[in-house]
Amino acid sequence: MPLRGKSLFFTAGVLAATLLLGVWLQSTRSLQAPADHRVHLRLAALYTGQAMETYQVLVDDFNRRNPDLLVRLQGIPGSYYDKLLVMFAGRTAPDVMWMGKGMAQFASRNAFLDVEDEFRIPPGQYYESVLDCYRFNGRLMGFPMGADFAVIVYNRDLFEQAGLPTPDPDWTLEDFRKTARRLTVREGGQVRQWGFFGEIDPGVFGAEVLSPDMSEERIDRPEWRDYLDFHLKLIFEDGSMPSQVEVPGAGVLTSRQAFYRGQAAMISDGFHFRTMREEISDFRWDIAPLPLGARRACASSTQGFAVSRHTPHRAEAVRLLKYLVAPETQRRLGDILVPAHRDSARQVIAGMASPPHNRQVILDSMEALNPFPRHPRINELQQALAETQRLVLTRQQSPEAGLRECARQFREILGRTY
Amino acid sequence: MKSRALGIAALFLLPNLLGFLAFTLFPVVASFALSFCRWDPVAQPISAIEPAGFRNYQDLLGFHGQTGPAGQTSWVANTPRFWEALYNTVFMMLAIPFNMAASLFLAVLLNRKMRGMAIFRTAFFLPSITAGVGTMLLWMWMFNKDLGSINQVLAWVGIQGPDWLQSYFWAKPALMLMASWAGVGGVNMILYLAGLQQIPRELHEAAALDGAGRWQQLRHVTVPMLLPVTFFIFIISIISGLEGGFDAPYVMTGGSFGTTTVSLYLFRQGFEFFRMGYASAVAWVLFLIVFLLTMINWRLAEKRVEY
Repeated sequence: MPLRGKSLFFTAGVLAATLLLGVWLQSTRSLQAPADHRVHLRLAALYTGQAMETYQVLVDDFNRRNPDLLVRLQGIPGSYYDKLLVMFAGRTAPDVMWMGKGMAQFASRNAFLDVEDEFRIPPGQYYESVLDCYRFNGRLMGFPMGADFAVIVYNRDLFEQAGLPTPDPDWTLEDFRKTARRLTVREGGQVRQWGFFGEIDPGVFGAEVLSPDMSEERIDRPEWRDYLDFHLKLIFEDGSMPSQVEVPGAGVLTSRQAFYRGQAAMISDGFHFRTMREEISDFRWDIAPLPLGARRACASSTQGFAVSRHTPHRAEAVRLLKYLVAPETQRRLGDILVPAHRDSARQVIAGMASPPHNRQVILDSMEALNPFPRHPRINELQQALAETQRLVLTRQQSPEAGLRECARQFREILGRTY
Repeated sequence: MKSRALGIAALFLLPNLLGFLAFTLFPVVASFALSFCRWDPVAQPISAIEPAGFRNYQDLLGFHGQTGPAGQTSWVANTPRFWEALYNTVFMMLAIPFNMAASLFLAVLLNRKMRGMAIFRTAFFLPSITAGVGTMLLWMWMFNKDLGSINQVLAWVGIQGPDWLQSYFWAKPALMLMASWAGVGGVNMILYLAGLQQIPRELHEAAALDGAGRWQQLRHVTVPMLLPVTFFIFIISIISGLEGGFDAPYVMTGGSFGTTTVSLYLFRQGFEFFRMGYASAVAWVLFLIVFLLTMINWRLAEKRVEY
């Protein structure tokens, strides 16, 4: 039914009145509020319950100390880097942002402010391998708070039941394999308890991903073959490790769940000791270094913050960055990760609750971090490598064929001009 | 008076039109333009987008000669991963005929007049409106090699079930099975049900008088009368089959074990590897495939489908 003159007039009148009411309400609110001369900053972080609470405490503290600034914490739950990408594309990126594994991908694309001159770092005060994850072309493009890494977490009770001594700090890959075999328990043809569930870092076997200048792949090499063979032996020859590969979110039993249930005597895991203390009450556990192979190495990931290159408030954003990564702040985050600042790391580890008892392992591991090369196409490279590992470790591809195909993909990715 | 009415109609259409222009037409045009460009959204502002000619399409669809160890030359795709993703997508679409037949079968069953039929209809329709990721997580446990209910049921009859989601051979069928469970009783069944209720009862009565049994009635009356609906469902299934297949592999396998579909490949290129131009080219190639297949279907249908 078409709108007649009166009803059309009435509808337009209602719409106009609503609009005017909204404008009036908004303007009275602005008049009532005191003039806000503070600089507003947006801080983005991956939304994880425990860390967000800590970040909010830090932000509140920073706002109190800096009355000229107002920082708002924006927690981004899931698909963190995808959302940052969209914000960068729309030039609405937060002023300061949390960075983890995505650092290389964003920093190598010049997304962040060069903060090299903002930090005076006396030699030896920080773990160099952690700092390096934030250095691109010799310049700091952000600053780390700390690192996470993989060590061997083991069930002391199961070691004692098997009549095994606690792992020696210098145990070799062969010692490790024997231990895993001894700890494996079968019942009626089924494995009731796995000796090990996890991964020994390829770096232990001397394997490297790329050449030092990152121009060539180093995949189709004997070291990678050794790495795959070792895990294949654990899975299929010894039966001491489950065959299922942990695909993130694939709904399979994770190594940590298996450990909590007493179904795995050893796992490789990171700095989640607080959660472990909360979850495990019915057995004793401790940590040991990864076994010694061609060299000492352990998988690692770092966390830190970076300032957007597009922020209109550079000085203020750098002030926030400095606060977030200061040694004092790093110590406050000691439940989540090991500080990048050496003294702070020592203090955090010394003051940490037990277990783990063998805390020297943590400090030793910090000296042997083996981060993935900081290549701009790190995501693609990691995905190609992970795919190969999954196919080979489920025996759907031979190690030779898998490494050959992976190397081909690496060359394709590295050789692309854009 | 007529122009005034048109003006008022346009006024009411304006919000929707603006939404269409901003969120549909503009992105479509922009993605077409981007498919001929190189754009890394983090490294380059929009003003610095570089023209790339047909380079993205060449990378995507092109082949190059490769000399083997014995000196022989073979043709290798510039991007084998794309072709693999296309193969995976087409493979998973093989479930379409089965799903359609199952939807028709269900619709015929649910088209009877009996007490409690609404409950059955609701029960079969429920999977299609249940939260996707939630059901995927449930299926992931069901597919679990050691603990999953599917393998436990298979074990009762002496079959050792495979590692469904971590096997190159079984991962695709596993995803197809789950999609069938969700889709068979969904919109397709509703469309068939609506189609069945449009068939004049006299046709069945006349067929029955001529001595046709239930099967003959189904074959010679129901199925031909449902051809327009079948054709519509087929076209929609082909389109959604080619465009879809993103969420299940993303959540359940991470795209591993041969489950990367074209849409997942496209997403990764654009949003994980920051290759917006290339991802746009993938989108347009996908569109062309969908368009061509739909055209072929229309041509074939013209001869067989009567409305």
